[in-house]
Amino acid sequence: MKNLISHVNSEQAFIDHQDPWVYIESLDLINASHAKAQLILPFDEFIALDASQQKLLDIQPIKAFWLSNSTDIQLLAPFLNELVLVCLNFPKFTDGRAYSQAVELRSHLKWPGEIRAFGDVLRDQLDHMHRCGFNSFAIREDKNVEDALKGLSSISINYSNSVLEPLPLFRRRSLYR
Amino acid sequence: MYQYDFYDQALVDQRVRQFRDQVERYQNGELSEEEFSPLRLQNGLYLQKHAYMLRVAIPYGTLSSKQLTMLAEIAQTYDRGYGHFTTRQNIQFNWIELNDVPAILAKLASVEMHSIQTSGNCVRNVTTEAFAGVAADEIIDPRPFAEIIRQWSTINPEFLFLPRKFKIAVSSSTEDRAAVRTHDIGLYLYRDRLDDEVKLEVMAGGGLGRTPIISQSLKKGLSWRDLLTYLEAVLRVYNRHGRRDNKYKARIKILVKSIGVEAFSEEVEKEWQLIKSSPGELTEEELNRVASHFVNENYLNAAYSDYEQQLVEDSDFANWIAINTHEHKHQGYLSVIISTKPGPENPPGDVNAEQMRAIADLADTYSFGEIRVTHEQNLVIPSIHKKDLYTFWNGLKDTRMAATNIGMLTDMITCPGGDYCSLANAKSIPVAAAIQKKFNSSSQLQNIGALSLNISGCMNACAHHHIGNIGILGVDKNGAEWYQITIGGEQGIDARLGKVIGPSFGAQDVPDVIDKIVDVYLAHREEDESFSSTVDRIGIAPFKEKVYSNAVEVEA
Repeated sequence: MKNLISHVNSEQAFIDHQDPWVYIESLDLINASHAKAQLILPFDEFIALDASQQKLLDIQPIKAFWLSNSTDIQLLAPFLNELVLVCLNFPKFTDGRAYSQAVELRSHLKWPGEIRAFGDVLRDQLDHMHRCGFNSFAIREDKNVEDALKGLSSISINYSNSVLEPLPLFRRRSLYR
Repeated sequence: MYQYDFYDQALVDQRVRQFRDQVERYQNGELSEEEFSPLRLQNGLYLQKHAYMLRVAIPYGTLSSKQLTMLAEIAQTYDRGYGHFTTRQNIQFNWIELNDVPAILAKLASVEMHSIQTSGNCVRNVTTEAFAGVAADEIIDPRPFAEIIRQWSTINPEFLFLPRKFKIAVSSSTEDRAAVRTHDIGLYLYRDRLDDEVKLEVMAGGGLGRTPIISQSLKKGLSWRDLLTYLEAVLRVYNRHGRRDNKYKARIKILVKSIGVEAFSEEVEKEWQLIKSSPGELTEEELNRVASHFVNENYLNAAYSDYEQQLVEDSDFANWIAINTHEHKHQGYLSVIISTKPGPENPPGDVNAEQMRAIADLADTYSFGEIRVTHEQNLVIPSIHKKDLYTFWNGLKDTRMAATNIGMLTDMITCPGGDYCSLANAKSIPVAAAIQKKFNSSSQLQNIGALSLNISGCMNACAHHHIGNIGILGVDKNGAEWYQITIGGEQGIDARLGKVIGPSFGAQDVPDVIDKIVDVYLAHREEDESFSSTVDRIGIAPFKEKVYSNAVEVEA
């Protein structure tokens, strides 16, 4: 993916020009050129296939999926051991369903891998996404990625518990008083 | 009242810097209108008919005198010298320049205020009743819980782009004076008789607007410790399943209605079981920390024999006391309600800078420097000792704020309407003024007694017209302004929606129509019967008959 901010582990975020992942919008679009590529497959299409059709795809093992924001994240559970990347979609930045998907993936399914935001991903929402468990961001391609990086350091105070800081501020207040 | 510590202050300061940067990026073209609009809305900034409007948060309606003085300064420096108090206990400035907004927000932050999430599809300013902490009939002070919810919901990263706006109200008295049941989530606090613990009943899916619905009980017996985790579960389920294809069907009330409250509550329960024992569970230490800000131990136990004398000697004063005060939990004190609706020359809810300063001074001199905003758009000084009331009242008269009409027909809730608002279908303020002109005799008003009249300029229902005893709704018919009238609405624990009496009227006929409705009520009421009880008993037919009998012009 292009325009990518990657591997955001607490302090360290960088612009990743070497991202190997190839986004596959639909299974029909897979062709010979993808033979050695690392593919991000459409999860919704994939689980609609039966087991024999899934085998026919001949992509083993599957390491990355992308999900639409209306997909129940629990459906990913059987696949998570094999996966290294899950991409969650923001069709418009004002549609916030993927925030909850990321929280569920981290908090309920305890998945430690890479969660990537893609779609209408913009500077002013990066901090919220990061706090909800996203750790890479495919910035909308017409936007400047260096500029977007600044979005990760906007407001340092967060009252509520979050994936990033599981202790809400009220449990930390006295520690620093 | 609550006072900011290092963290609270740092958050609002950083928010000002963030918004300053966003305004600059919008102005130099880095942010499109579409990208900027949700950012400004989450800072309370709307683009209205004539100018930007800034809605400043007054969390659960509580202001210090210092804050009110700052609002006066903002009104004078950046607006046209006045502000408009709203039904969500906030204040709006109607004539704001975008360039000034970062400076205004910095001024607000300097007095521990902000405009965060007063708009947008996120959790809005949490509200409670204006007499919280002082009402004689209060069970538990709701303010610490409201403040805890304020903090939890402020920039809560998961819930900033919900399907639609989300309003929470808290109440804990024998009456409900916070319109709890017309909120997305309403919380009733009570003390469990068995274990003496503070518990909550959670009401869900209320709201007015296009599809008015009174909320239903979602959960009873919730421990206060589970308040935030339960809200988190509700919001997550709503974020996941609320409709996003149609903004008029996107509120939680539509979701609750479509799947049923039982199914919705099961879904919430399932989510809550996963998180109820997480660090999000509230602690005794935190509740005590927040609650300690609301303790007032400075009440006097003084004599007030002069007060009894003043009541006897000055009937205007006695009248004002009877109508504009509320029972206080502490002996010798009353809460005072200052009407923002003195008459037709003053749009309901509007207060000018000079009056704001005068009220702040009076609150410092005769009370504890605190002011409340009611959801009926009036101001409250929560605690005044009876020995000081007469001097206080005289001070109010000097600022033309001693109108004696609380809870009466002229104390009408009115939205800004077509004069300001770009959503409005019709004007509200001139209709309110015309009704006030018609009912200008205080003996007539006193004879009518308690009667709520709410005027909204469109079906978004900012003035809660559905739950007014008489509700007036502005509608647009082929470019002309018409007014639809409902009767029998009621707020409170037994909240209910009014019924439409028939076809709409032109603006010029509204005062006469109201007059006729009131006449029918007076002719039929038995003893002290309330307006809505009378409507319940006799039905709407007698009202209809009287109103439509003569040839008033109604919409075709």
